[in-house]
Amino acid sequence: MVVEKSIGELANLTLDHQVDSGNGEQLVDITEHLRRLTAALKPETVVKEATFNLFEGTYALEVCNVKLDTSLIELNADELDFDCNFPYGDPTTGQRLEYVTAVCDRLCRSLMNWLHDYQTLPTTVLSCRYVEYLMELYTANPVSSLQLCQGLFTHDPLYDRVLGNFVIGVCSFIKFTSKVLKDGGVYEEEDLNCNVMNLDMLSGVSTEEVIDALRSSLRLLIESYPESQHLQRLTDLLIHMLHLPKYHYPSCQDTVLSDLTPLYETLDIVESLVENGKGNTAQYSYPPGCFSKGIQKRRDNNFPPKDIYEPKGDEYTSLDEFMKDIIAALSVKECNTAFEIRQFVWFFNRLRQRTVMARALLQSYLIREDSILGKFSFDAFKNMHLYEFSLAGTTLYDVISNKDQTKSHESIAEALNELSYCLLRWYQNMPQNACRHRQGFNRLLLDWDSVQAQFEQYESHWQSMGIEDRITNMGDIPLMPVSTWIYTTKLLMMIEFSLEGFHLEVYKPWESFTQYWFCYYLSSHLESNLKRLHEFLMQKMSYISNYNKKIKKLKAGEKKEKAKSHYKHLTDVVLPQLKINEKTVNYYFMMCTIVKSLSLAQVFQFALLKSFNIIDARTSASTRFSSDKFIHDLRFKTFSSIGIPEVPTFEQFQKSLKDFLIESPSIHSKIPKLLSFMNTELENAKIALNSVIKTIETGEAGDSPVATGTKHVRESALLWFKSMLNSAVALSVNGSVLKTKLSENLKLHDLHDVYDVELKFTPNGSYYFPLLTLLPKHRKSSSQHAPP
Amino acid sequence: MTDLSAVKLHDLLGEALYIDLNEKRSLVGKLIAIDCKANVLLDEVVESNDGHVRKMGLVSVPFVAVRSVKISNDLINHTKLMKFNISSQYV
Repeated sequence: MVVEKSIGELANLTLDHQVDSGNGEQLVDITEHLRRLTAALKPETVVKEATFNLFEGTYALEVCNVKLDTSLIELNADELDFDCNFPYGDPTTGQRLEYVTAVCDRLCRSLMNWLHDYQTLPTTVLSCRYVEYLMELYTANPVSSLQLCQGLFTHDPLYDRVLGNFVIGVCSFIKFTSKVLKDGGVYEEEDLNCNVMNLDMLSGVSTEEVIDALRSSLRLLIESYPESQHLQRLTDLLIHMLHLPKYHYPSCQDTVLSDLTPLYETLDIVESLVENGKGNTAQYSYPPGCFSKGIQKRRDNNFPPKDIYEPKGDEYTSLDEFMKDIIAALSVKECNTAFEIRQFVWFFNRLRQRTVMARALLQSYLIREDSILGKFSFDAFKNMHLYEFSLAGTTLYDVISNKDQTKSHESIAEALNELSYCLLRWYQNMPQNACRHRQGFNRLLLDWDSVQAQFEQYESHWQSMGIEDRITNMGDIPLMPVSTWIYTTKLLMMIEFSLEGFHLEVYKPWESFTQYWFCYYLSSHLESNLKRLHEFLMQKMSYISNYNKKIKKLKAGEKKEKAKSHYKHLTDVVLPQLKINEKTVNYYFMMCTIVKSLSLAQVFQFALLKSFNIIDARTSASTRFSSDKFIHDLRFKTFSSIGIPEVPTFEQFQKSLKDFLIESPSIHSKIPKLLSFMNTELENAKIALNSVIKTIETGEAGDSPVATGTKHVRESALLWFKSMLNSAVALSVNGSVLKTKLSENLKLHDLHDVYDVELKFTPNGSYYFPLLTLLPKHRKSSSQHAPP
Repeated sequence: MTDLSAVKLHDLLGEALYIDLNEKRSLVGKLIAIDCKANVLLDEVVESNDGHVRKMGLVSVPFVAVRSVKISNDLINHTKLMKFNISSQYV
């Protein structure tokens, strides 16, 4: 490596270094030679290494450019003269306590600026001179105990013990965060910037030892500095925050904590910090030069200079949210069924992106090395998913649960285990940031489509072995429980992928017709799939109810006793599960109704605008290098290899749009009828939404026809469905607004030159259903509206 | 004077350049690219600034900011030898 060799060489360079590179090598000046060689090049020529992509060159830092060269950072006299081993402040006036408190307070705030406000470490925590100094000492001598570490040496215990230990505590927390980041689930740069500038953040020191050191600081403060309440609170806060590694499965495995008490205690401390009016960051002053950009100039650095991020004053409120998100994430431990866990993970990161630590901890806490929550093996977890949806009461389940039928049992179990990987990938995808989450579906859909095709074959084969369940009222069609579950999951993902595009503002208004029409189409397929399952569940429940009559007809004896025992099993075990599954299917039916109705309302509104030539489901940006079809196919590329359901073609989408249009004559008089259709759909959505909301609010009472599985993620789920309800109302109002605006130009049938269309998010509405909004032509608002 | 006639631009790619920017500041890095103005792109750069040494990663150095560029004499000799060997195979 050039670097290692060069470091040695550079250290030995003399100032004029004319001839010697420092390791005995003779150096030859080639400045003029280089100038001559390059002057002979054609102006557009760049001589470069074959493997080097010039795009990578855009990341290069240009030396001698003040905006890019950290060596040009200018430091003031206080920064240059700052001495970490000098006890700043007048000891007689309490200024030293004020200084130490100020530094610790800012370090806590800086942690939040880094973790919650997505700032970098060099502009927040590492800008503190004490952090840089102590970590440089540790990096130079990475020992395994704090006892062996060199600390501050001011001869004032406030600095040497309290501040020194506090810095150690903060750095230990950074080490933990860095570990969480490395263990996956969140991404460097896009989720969190963990650039520690090649400093060793106490790699050999245990968190327990750091906590002990902080506890000794706290004792010192209580005993010797009675007026240090704020500093005591900050130290106690840090001690509590350092309990977080105990909830990180990869960090502690067998000893991972499930008791959330220390986290609730942290919340109490944070609350007291907020309440005690410490939001004012200007309350304390720091030793001059204590926070500096100097580290960017001194340490290994391949980033341009950045100003220090000054705390804004709301850091403890952010910390409150940070801790609440973590507590919410770890509440996943309360879930007992696969449906509850599925719903928890689906809703947890839904309405707003949770803090990065909470998302990472959820993933590591839920998906452990060989189990889910330490309770269920991966295969058992997958079986639970199947059982709680479509497998209960089936012949296939009887075979799987009957260990005697070894041959068929083993081959089926082996086949089913292939599903575990797909299921885990789904779970890993859910807590990701919104962009990664949608991107993850590209791969997931391929996987799930592939296993669907595979299992349709398996299940056909199993049918030939007599392992089958048929739905009598639907022409005796086979149920195929595993494929039914896979198909349901896949369709839900396809709908989510399409609607997430609105959330992330991926689509232009002209694309909204195809996307919403596609969602309607997918929901219809989902509904048909659910109807099959629902019919089977009803059939099976009816069979169990009537089984008793069969027993009565039997003569007393062994056969009758066997039938009675079987009946008991059916009523005690199978029937309750079938009832739960029916409620779950009812929930998905409602999801279908909601997505179908809201999507159709959007389709109606698009068609209305298209009828007046304000918008079209194709782009005017098509050139001779592309075409409407190419652009459409590119947008639907994710679904290009999906076998079932068949994805409509570009032409089919265009034809569907035509079917919704209203035309002259009397075009204006046809608007109310179109809106009436739309409002009927919206009413259906509202009924379904109110039903789901009521079920969640009443805690899923036993007589509820729906099971939402949201008991442990109640608030998020309620907010989500209420946002959908708000969107249903907003869409209805928007229909009237569009009608009014179109009626302003009664004589015109072509309003292409009058209006532009934008997709606007409604306050408190669902980000899946932004409104098609008319704006006067050429007077578009320049700012995009942020999602609610 | 060292004879540099054998050393062409392609011979320097991937090799360490020693660049002085001023009396206090110098860089060593692997040459990645160079243009017609002798502006260079160096990777794995190590900076020495008033005795303080640190890594800087990928760095572009405008030639106007350069006081001198040096390479090791070994590299020159190696290049000469390699080219001599190649040419002797074709003679």
